Amino acid sequence: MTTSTAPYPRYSDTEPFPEGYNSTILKLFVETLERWRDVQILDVGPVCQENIMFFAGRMHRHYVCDMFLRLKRETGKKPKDRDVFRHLDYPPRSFDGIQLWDLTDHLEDGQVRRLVKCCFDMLRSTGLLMLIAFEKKPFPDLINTFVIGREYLLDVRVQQHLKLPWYCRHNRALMSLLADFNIVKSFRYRNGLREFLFKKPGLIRD
Amino acid sequence: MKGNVQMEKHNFTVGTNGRVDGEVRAQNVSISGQLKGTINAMGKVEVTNEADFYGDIKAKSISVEDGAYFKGSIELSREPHRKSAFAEAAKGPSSPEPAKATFSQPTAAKKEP
Repeated sequence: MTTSTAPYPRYSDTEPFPEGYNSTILKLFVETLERWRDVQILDVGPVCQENIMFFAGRMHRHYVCDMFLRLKRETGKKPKDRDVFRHLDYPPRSFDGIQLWDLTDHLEDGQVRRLVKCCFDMLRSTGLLMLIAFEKKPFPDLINTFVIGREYLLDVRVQQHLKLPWYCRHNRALMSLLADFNIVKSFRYRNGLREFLFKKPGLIRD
Repeated sequence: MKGNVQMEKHNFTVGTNGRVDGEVRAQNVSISGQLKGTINAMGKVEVTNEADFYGDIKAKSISVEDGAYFKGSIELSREPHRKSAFAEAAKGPSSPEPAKATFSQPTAAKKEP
């Protein structure tokens, strides 16, 4: 038996996995929410100790619902039994902010629509939604968690227990799926990542 | 086990095969099995990657391993003497003077959008 020493093939539809970077949108997301009182936020990313401490230390109450792991567990079920969004059963207008991370990159369009509807219902008026999206499927296409460090530095940590499909989208497709929200700011980094901050329409926080 | 646990001066552990449904009040809490309910810990809550947790946690600190099946809320108990972020911000990083009176009413500083 021989072992290949050839490098991994590189495909044109992939990008090298990004290294850590200072997140402009995370800073805006957090600093805006910190100005409000009794803030409740929801983090649907992979469970991450650093992120829990970061948000729980800054917000009144921090909710975590790891949709990545739930999505992975759903993949083993029959299509008719799959309904990952039943886990987002929070009452309407529960949160001031929702951190999606790169969840939409692992959902089909129909699932993204369901997710957006859930987020719209769960957010209070003027509530914020943060999203990260890859322009192209990274290589290797491992699932990572974005780990928050000092000065809003986002680093990535591989989640070996997660294996999910990738559905990277162009800006126009993403904006179309999130059309119910107002875009506050977006940012594209040289490492191929895009960040978006959306706001639920409304004049005052309800 | 179904029911409430009250052992404020002791630690409480749910092993990998353990299943608890109820409210837990303890000094430190460690979960490696299933726990559905609320945890009120005077000290630390530890959730391992084998845990399946659903509920609310109030503790002084928390550690959660990657891979834990987790759905819940976390509220960290603040030190009563800890100064607010606004008071700290008012001082500024290099200002030797204490916070000005303009920040004596923190509610006024917290504007809603």
